[in-house]
Amino acid sequence: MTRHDAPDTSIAMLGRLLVYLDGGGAADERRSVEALLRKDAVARDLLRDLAEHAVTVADCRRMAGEGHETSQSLGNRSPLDRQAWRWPAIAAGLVAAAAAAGAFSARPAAPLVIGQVSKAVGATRLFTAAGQIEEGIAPGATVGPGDTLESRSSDAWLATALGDGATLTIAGESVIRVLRPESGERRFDLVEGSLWLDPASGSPAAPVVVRTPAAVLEATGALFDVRSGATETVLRVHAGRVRAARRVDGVVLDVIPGSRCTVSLAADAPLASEPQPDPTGAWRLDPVSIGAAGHGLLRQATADRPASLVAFPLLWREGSHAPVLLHLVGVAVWRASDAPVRIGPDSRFRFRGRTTHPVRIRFGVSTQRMQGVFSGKFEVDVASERQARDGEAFEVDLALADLVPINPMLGDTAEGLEVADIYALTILEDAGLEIESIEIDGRD
Amino acid sequence: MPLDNPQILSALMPWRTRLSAAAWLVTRDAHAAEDIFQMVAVKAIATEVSFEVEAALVSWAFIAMRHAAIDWVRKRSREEVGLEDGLLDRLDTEWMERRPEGGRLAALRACLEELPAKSRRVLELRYADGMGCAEVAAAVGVGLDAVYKRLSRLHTTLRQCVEGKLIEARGANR
Repeated sequence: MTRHDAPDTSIAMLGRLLVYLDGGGAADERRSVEALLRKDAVARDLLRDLAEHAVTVADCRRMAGEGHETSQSLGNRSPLDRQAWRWPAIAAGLVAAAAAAGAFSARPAAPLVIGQVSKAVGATRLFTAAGQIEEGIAPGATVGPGDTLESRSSDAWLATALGDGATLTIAGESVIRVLRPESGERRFDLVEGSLWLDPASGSPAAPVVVRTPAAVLEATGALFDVRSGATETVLRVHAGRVRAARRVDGVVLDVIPGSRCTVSLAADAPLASEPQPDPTGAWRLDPVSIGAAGHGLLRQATADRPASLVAFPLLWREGSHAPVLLHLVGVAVWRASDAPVRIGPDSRFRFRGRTTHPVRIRFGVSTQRMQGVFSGKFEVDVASERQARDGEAFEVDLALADLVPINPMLGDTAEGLEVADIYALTILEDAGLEIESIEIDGRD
Repeated sequence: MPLDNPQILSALMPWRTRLSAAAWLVTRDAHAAEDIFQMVAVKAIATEVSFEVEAALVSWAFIAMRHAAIDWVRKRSREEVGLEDGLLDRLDTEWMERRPEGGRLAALRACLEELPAKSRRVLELRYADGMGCAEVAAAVGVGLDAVYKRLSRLHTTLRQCVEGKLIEARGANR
């Protein structure tokens, strides 16, 4: 069929398209229309014409003035829509904008700065929009649209001060891209990992948009954290409100303080928030089920050994120092535990594992304030004499007091903080570190 | 050599109806589609991306329109984005296959002018005022099915009218 023939067929097909676009029709009929559009070029041709008619009808109305406006239509439209529209005037505006843009581009433009790195610890990396790589980001570095920031290990974190005084922190194997601002919104793409946003107090906050593989989050002046993998995003709101949109179907939900919301690519359930679970004082690593929440290679159980996570090498570089090779086992506890794990005054941290030979092992936790932002790392080095020899299993039992804050210290003690990540590593030397179990044992 | 700003605007304007229509398929709101076109036009001249040829600009503009339209829908908490991405891609691609024919928009406007006032009102209620068909039915005092039928016939009439005027214009130009 061409544009010229079979008008009756066109009328019937248009009728079905109109019902579909109007949101009507039974599910079977809607699927049938979608199938028709996929396979039938004529149906697509009709749909394109219909859409062109729709915008032209509205355009003609604007050109004719607003005299015909009904009260109902005003209710449907934004204030911007109610302005008297005249395309020639808009075109003139565009030309003026073009001229301004031309004048602007005639001289070198200063790069747009979205934020400045205020703290950086551990293995971090910056991919600049210009295509350069900077290993070990130094405090003071500025970031702008197109830049990608990485915290490359469990013990790495990076805080960036935004223009309105808010602080954006990433930690524990996270990747974030800085996007170009739109409509006054600062926009970030959290590719993976965890992000905390702490708004400035006492000054007007600018809107922030955080995109993840599964969600788009919008907030103004809200305190929240986001943990995201390839298919799932967990949002926890601690103050203010955050609007979460599920990317797969556009469903939107406002998440209130004290709530959390899990947004999944599967979209197999209604988007809903729930109260954040009460914290627990106890948690135990299961290497087999840890999956993407763990850093290390899974070694399956054998007749004489339980399953374990084997340390995986990581090149660690801080500032201008020479890179250091680490062998790391790490676990994102926030992803491995349904409830936040709180460190109490009597908490114990028990690591059971093996090395092929005696070696100094560094044990540590990264923390965040309960319902708050990233709160630093606490570590301790354990000398080889405290470990078993010749491949026998060792057990290291650490008290809270054994863990000391690392520079820059955000607090004297980890007491009362939530465990974000827990890790064990050897520095330079590959001692075949394996971790069979980690247990946090404390009172709620 | 990249297109300069006047060239970008000159290249975009013939595509305005198609680009706005592509956004309308997502937003189902003709005024929002127009807003989005203007925003994309301004972006095209203010962006740091340069366009060597019109095809690159148009391709970029269709993608930018789609993204902005989806953002618009999400910001208004509308749950139904509607047509699936693959289908929207196909519609955009088919739109881009041929340059817009000169005179088509003028022909469409003339055809709209020629419609009886009652018919034009139905189209305006549906597309300029953004009413759903049930609201249009209530406004004009007919049943919902009658509105669907009337709109189907009007779109078909407009298609035939536009084709007729374009054939006429081609004959006059020979």
